[in-house]
Amino acid sequence: MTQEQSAIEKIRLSGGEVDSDLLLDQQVSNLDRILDPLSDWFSSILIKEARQAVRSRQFVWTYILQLVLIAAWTAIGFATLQDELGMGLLVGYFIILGFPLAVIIPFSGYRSLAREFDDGTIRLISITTMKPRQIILGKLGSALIQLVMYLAIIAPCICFTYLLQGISIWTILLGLSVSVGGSIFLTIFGLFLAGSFRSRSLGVGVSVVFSIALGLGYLLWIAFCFEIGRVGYLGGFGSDEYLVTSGLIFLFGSTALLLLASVVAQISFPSDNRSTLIRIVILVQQTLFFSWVCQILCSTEFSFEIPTTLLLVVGHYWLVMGFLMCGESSDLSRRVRRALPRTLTGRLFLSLFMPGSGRGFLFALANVWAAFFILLVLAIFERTLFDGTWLVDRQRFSFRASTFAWQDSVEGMLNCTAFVSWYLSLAFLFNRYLWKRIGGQVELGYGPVISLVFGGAVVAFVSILAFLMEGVFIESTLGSAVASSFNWYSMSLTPQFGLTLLFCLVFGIQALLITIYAVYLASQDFLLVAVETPQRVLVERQPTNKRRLPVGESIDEIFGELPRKPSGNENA
Amino acid sequence: MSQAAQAKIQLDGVTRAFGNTLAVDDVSFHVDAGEVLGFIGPNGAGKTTSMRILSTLDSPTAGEAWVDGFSVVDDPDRVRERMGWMPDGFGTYPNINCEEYLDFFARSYGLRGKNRLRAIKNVMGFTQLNQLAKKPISGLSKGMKQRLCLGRALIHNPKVLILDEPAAGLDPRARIELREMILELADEGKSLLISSHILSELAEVCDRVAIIEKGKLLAIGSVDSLLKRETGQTIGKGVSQLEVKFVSEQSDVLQWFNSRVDVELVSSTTNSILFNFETCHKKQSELLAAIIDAKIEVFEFSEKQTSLEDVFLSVTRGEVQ
Repeated sequence: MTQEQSAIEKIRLSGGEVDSDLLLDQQVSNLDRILDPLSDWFSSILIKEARQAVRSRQFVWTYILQLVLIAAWTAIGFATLQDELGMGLLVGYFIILGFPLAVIIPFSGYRSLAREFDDGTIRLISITTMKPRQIILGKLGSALIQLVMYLAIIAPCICFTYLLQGISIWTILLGLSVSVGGSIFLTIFGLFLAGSFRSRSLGVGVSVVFSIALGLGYLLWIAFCFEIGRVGYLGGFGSDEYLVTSGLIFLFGSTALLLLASVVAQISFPSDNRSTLIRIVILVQQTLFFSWVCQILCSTEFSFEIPTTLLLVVGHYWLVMGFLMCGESSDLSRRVRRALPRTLTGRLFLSLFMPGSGRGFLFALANVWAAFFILLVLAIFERTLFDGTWLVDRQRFSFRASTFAWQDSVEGMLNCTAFVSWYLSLAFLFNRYLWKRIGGQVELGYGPVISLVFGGAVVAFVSILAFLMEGVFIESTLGSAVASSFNWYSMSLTPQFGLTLLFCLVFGIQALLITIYAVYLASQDFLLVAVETPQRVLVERQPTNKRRLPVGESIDEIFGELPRKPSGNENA
Repeated sequence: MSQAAQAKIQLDGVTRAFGNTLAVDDVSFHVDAGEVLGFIGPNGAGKTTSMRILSTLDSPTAGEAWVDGFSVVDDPDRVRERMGWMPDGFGTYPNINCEEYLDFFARSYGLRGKNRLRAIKNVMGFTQLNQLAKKPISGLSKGMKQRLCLGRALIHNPKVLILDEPAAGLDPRARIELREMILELADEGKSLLISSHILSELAEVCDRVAIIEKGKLLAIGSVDSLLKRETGQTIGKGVSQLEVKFVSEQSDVLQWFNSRVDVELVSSTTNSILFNFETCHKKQSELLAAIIDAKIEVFEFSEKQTSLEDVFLSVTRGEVQ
């Protein structure tokens, strides 16, 4: 044993100061010495997963297989493809690239998290100071590293096809963006599945279904590649393509964020705030949707059917999201109650983002009604809102608003919004009853499942009611294919006064009363008072100078602490 | 809570229910700095559930638990900075070696740069894993894996250590080494909560012992006080249990002992007899002299020591839920 080694042997955990340079000199190579400080900026999960992945047989064999296939296809392509050699090779390369990106990487991501649950190692990670968000992003990051490595070996070949001409840069960008974007989305979906179905027995079934779905996804990718080959030279994006592309990016991007927020919430500690991030993402998703709609309205001819159809989409969205939020427990942990807003302004604007079924219910209700009013404004002003002509042509605006030429449209929208409000009220009241009856005896999330079943029954009931009354109430003139499938709340009333009155009495008034009662109960959640932060925590915080926020705790308590700057931990 | 401010581990009326089953039922105890508390009980008694609550893996249905003054429910992040947990399973990863395994957890606890390297080296030195640094975890023996898991729990130098069955499956040498490590950690001022079925090992390292069964805390105290209490309860105050081994005829010996009023027979075999007698050493020496005078050929005369096993068997009923 050398002198240095014996010195290290003598070191004990809280023993004297260790000469770290001694350790570095002994163990760390020159390359490591350069790279090691850089690695401090990366997630520990990312580093560990990358180490594991590059040593795994699955990665090595897939990598070798991809290399062999690329070489083989290049040789075959040159030998057989006479016309459109570049396009033919490109399609082949995309198909080869698609397999690891559409199947291997998403499934690896899924297995990576599922294995943590199977082996029980998630417990060990959970009790470190890493945040759940860092764990999930680390898993996603390691998938991205694999993705980059797969892309790296095929990138020169794709560049080569561009040199063969007959291919535009747009074609290459389209193929790459769809494959990479799709792979990231599927990986996030895989992580979401792994977080949602944790039991080993259920996990086996989910693995099989997910792998089959990924296989089907790969077949779709192959079809897409052939379509690229069929279309041939792609000169650029027109306005229609731009609209569709931006819509898809908004849809998949925001859904990916929502799935990430959900899986982070699933692995969070029970007393953590698991709702705020999800609610923010939901709001972002709705905002992105409306911004996309505005793009459409700016570029197409306005139709009265547009706002109603949009509201039907938004209404269904909040129907689902609303009763998931209504299923949350009303009992907030002290940890969350510390973070409740303390000022009046804070209560008014931030309370809706805090956990709790009442807040969730009001959040959904506020959003669906906000959507209604936004679309109502759109219906009134049409596209003149965007080019400013409504300011000039006041007479036309006044005509629209006063003659109610769009009354069917507004009526349909109002019915839709009212229905969602009534439905969510029922879901909220039912969940509240359930939580009071069985309280902590059930796991969180059981309520939403019952809500879904209950909700399905109510939807079926109302649909049957609408069907039976079809002779009494006529279909509205909304007419679009989408709207007609939701006839149970796109009905407009007939001039038959007696039946209208009956409908209002039986259905409308009870719905109104239930909604008012539910809103009254939910609004009581706002009366919750934030609890004081324990003295021990305040003492602990003293050395740090955190900016005060209008909430009880720091922003870290709500969203989790931001990644620390690697400045070293002196407690070590 | 005032006690919690001083104690490193504090449980106050902790209850954990799974449906109608109370896995932990109103359990309260504390562990001070530098103290080792043994947590013993039959399988399914609620030891692991209590430890999971302290490790911020589960939350109590009722009651409070603190680690270094921080609530495990309200401030799990701060508890995790101060607590190291070694579960009964290994929880290792494939395709990485010992050093990388510790490196991963060091990074996960926020250690950076030289501090991280220093922590890894310290832990590898302490657990004597230096020679195995580059060895894949899959190739480690059970004892080595156990050391590695202890190293993982120590990597961020926590004030509190919770060890669930740390000696399970270890050979005698590894157990002795583990015992030395535990005592060394306690000397450094760390608080340790250890569950184990090897009660003889616990008796040697623990300052106090808590016995739990069916989720209820049945007894808690220092090993000595529990032994004394057990001796007092089963034999009586001022009475010892003595054993005499002999080569004479059993019937003759029994006849002689039955004739004495100051002796209470407990049991006998062909060459030994167990009986209760006064603790007074003078009287015990007089009894020995009397036995020899009675021509009973004695080759051993000893006081039977009460062990932690006796206490455990006496306190618990062997019931599981």
